[in-house]
Amino acid sequence: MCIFLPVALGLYYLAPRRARNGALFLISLVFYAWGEPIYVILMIFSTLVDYSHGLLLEKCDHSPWKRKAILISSVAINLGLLGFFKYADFLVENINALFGLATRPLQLPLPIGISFYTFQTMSYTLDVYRRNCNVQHNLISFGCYVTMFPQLIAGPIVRYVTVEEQLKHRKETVEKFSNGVIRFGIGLCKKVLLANNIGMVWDGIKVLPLEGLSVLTAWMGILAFAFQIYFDFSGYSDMAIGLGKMFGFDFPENFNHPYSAKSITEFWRRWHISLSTWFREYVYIPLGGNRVPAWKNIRNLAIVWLLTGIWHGASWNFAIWGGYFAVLLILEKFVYGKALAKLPKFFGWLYAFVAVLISWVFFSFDALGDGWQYLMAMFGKGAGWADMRALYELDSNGTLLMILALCSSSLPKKGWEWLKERWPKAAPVIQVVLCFAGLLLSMAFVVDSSYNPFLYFRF
Amino acid sequence: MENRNLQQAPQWSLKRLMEGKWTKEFEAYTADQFAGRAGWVQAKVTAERVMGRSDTGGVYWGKNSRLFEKRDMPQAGRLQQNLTAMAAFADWADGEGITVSFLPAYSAYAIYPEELPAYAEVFDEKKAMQQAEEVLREKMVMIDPLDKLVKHKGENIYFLTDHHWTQDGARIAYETWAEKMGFQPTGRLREVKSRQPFYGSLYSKAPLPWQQPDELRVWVDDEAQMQMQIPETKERIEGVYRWENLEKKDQYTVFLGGNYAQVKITTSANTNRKLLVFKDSFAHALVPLLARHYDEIDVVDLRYFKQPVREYVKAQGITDVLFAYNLSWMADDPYIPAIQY
Repeated sequence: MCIFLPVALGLYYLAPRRARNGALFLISLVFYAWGEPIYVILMIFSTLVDYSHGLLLEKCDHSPWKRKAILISSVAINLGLLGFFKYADFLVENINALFGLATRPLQLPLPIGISFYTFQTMSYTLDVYRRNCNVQHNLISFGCYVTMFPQLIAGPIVRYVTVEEQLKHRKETVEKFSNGVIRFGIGLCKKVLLANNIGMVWDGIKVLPLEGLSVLTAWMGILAFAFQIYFDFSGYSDMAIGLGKMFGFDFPENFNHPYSAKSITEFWRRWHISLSTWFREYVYIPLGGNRVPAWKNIRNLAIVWLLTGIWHGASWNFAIWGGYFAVLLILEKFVYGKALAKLPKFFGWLYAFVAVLISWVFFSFDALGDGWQYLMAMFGKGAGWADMRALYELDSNGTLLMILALCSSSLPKKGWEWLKERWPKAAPVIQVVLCFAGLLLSMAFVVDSSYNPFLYFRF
Repeated sequence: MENRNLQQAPQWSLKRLMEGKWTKEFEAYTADQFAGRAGWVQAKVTAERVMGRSDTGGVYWGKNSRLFEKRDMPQAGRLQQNLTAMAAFADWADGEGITVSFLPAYSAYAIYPEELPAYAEVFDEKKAMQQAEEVLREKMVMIDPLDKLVKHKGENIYFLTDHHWTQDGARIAYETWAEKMGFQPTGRLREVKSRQPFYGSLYSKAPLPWQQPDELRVWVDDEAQMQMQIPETKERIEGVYRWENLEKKDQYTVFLGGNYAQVKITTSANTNRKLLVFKDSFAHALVPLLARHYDEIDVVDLRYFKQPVREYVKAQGITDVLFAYNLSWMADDPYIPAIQY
């Protein structure tokens, strides 16, 4: 990354304006091929499929049934690819288990980012079909959109409509560029300094024998995971948004302080926004959304959230994770949502945060039995209230936990705005100094790491 | 110990590129060759320490500048399995007229538990020793140096920056052993100090800029004539110390030259006794002190020694066997059961 990024930026800005989409397309292909030499072909295939389907839709503009057929073809190919590479083995295993067969799983490695880019290409064809956007005639521009390296691997999922204009004419300015650098720096610090460090705590706790977990250790562990996944994923989104700005793009925001939510409904308006927007736009609303009788609305919610769960991984625990949220969202909508809103804010927050922590247990244990046992340990079925392990982790990571809590809230943002108002001249200097210090420190942590997981590479 | 080989410049070929190997190695290469790596690592662990962390990379930051090894708890049942193997070996040796003894090395956290960070959990070596006593008491001579080590804890018997004991610590264990075995402990030893400060293996993992270094001391027996032979490298060395290693990063390898499958020491003791030591690296500081009492000392590391052990013991005419293991290592060592063959 240290070498790649400057080279990429250099090439991009040296290229004449007309050729910049092409340059970015090429850079992105190299970037992807760096990690996945073979699967880059798959991504190019996916690009061609939706590009051609877009053209076909235009050609058959006056024949509704042909347009429908084209749409179905596109969706089938996209979901087919995703299904084959992501869900085939899951299917094989379940069929084996159901019928006592022993079909051999394919054991294909999951192509990096496939869940993200198939959703992006699909959004294009769907929106062309719904006449929400124009057909893209330029293959290079379209390729540039699909493969764009900043958000290729872990989102945000940028819908075609949001960047349609930007692909044609966007303005790269110095101000935007420097904002991009700072945003990238913030993302890197979140990932390297915060997520990785608290991740080590979770990695230590999740391998402990489940029957020996104390209540405090179990909560400590899942809290660590909650922070890890948030700072890892939102840090990655920040980096993507920052990189996008460096190339003149404005990507949609993906997170908005989700752990400050006071209900699950609110949590999902703040967490992985681009994914929930995608499902709302292309599944929930087409199914009728909430402008239908209550039972249909409940059905729609259930479908959307089961799909959201399964999107995260081909495993039952993700389905349960999605189903769990479906239940909570339905309950909030039809049973206690209004009562919740009347409670003092603190209780709303506590309810939402605990519910989210519990959801992470389903999320993080592939084996359902293990997840259940962990959950039971959180509620006292393990070994006692507290043990040395919990106290040690609390003592050793106390400062880190406080920083994580602070950074999950909107306080840093508010502090920054206050600073900008109070000392408008000094603020940018402070920002640059902090950013530079953060970058240096992140570098130190990266250099010495045998430990550098990207949680969302799995999806 | 960060003593692995650094990634070398990767070889390029189309096939390797397609498999993604080339790019992976290229990344490892750039990471390892990163300018001033040591400085960056120092910056990182300093940040961790300042943030209040009590450990990093398998090392606890203790009080008074003392570092402790932070190990995973040993696999359940392994200690018992190893002790059972040792007991069976002792039964066999008894039939062959061989004297077997057991001299454990304690870890620093067993001697200085009060200097561990708050709530830090470590393997309970005292309990492990009790377990060993129960299984082995009837079978071999048991020597427990714990009380004497604790009594001398103020005397630099453990390194601050390395997981081993110093030779002063090993010497205390040796004296306990000699007493129990009925030997007159070697008295007059000459002290040799390393000219450079010693930064041990724990420091390499947790290098704080303000870490107090150690001083490595060697006790030399000038009156004993010894030769060391290393079958692996076909080397023959006068004495049992590799003095040139005092100039290296890991100065502890001055004792017996480091980790080998086997080291054979011949002495001028003329006692008609031949000792075989099954050991880990804690014994390296100990073995040189035993040389007065045996004509030959065969030092065997079961991790690398691949001959049938019992056959070898018989063929060599061994008269004494010593198990000299650190208790934490022994509780997690998968190679000890090899002595059954």
